[in-house]
Amino acid sequence: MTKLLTTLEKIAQDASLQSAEALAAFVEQADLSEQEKAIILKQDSDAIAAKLDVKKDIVCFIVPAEDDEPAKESDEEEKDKSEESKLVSNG
Amino acid sequence: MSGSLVCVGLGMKLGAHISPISKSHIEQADVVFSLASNGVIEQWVDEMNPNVISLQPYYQEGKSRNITYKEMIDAILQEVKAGKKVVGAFYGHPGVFAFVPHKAIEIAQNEGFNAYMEPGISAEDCLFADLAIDPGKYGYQQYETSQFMFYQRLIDPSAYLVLWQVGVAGDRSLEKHNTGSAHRQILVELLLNTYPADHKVILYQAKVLPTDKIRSDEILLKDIVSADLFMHTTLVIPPSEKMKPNNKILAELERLEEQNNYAPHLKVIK
Repeated sequence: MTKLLTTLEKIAQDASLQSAEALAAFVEQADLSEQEKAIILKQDSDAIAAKLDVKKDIVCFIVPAEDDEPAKESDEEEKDKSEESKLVSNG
Repeated sequence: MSGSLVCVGLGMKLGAHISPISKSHIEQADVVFSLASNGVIEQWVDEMNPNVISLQPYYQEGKSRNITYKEMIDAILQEVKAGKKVVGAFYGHPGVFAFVPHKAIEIAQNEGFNAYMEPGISAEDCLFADLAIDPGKYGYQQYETSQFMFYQRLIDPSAYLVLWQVGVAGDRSLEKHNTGSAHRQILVELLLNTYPADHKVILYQAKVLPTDKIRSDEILLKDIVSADLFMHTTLVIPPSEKMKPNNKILAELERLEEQNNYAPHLKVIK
C-alpha cells in the first residue's frame, strides 16, 4: 500500500488523531513527502486523488428506480387473489 | 458446489467503517469485485487482495444502468460458478439501495451456492450521526428520488423525508449521471403539494476520505432546482407539521386500560 494511503487509513482509524493538533503532529513525523503532508493538512481531497492518480468522483449507483418485478403479472396476481377472497367470503 | 459469494460493506469512510469480518473476507477471497464511491477507496480495496476487479468500467454515460447491473451480476456469478471464493465489496452497506448484491446473492443461492451478506456502515447511518437526526423522534420515510417521482407515495409531513440519488432525479432512461433543472423542477412541484416553497431542506454528503468535509447545506425547497447536486448528494426534508394525535385510537386504548384496571398513561388530547 502506498505510504499516502496507509497514512490516510491510519488517520481514519485512530481515535487519538481526530483533533487538528494531533493530526498535525502525526502528519509532521509521517514518512511522506512535504507535498503529501501539505495536502493532508489542507484537507485537500482532490489533490490526494490527483496524487494517487485516481478519479475522485466515480459512478456508484446500484439501485434501479423502477420496480424490477413485471407489473402486469403482479396486477394479474392481485386480481386473482381478490377474486379468490371474494369466493371465500361468499362461500 | 465449491464456489461461494459473500457481499460485504466497505462502509462510507476509508478505513474507518469497514468491519473486521468484511476486511477478512476481502483479504481471503480468490477474487474480489469492488464498487467504491471514490477512486481513492477503490485503490485502497485494490491493495487488500491481489485479484480485485473494479465494477466501474461497466458504467457508461448513455448506457442503461439496468444493462450495467445485469452485466455486473453476470460477471460476479461467472466466477462463483467457476468454483471461486468470490467477494463483492460494495461501498456503504451492500444491502441498502443496492440491487446488484441482493440479486447476485439470490441467484447464487437458487443455484445451490453458499451466498450471503455482511453489513456495513451505510450513508444513512452517517446521515443520522452527522445531522443529529434520530429517525425514531418523528418517524422517517426514505426513497430513491426517481422511484419517489415515478410512483404515487403518501408523504407524511410530520416525519422526515429523505430522498437518495437526487442528482439523477427523474431519469427515466437510467442513462444519465446527472439530470438538469427541468427534472428537478418537476420534483420540486411534486414536493410543493406537501411542503411550503420556503421550507428549509438539507443537502447532505457524507465524509468519504478523512480529509473530506461533511456537506450539510440548508437551502429553501424552491432552490433545489438551481442547487449543486452530485451523484452522492442526498436531500433531507425535515418535518413541516407537528405530529397529530390519533384520538380515536387513544380513546380505544384508554377504554381498554380502564376495563383492565390499568393506570392510563395516555389521555385523549382535546
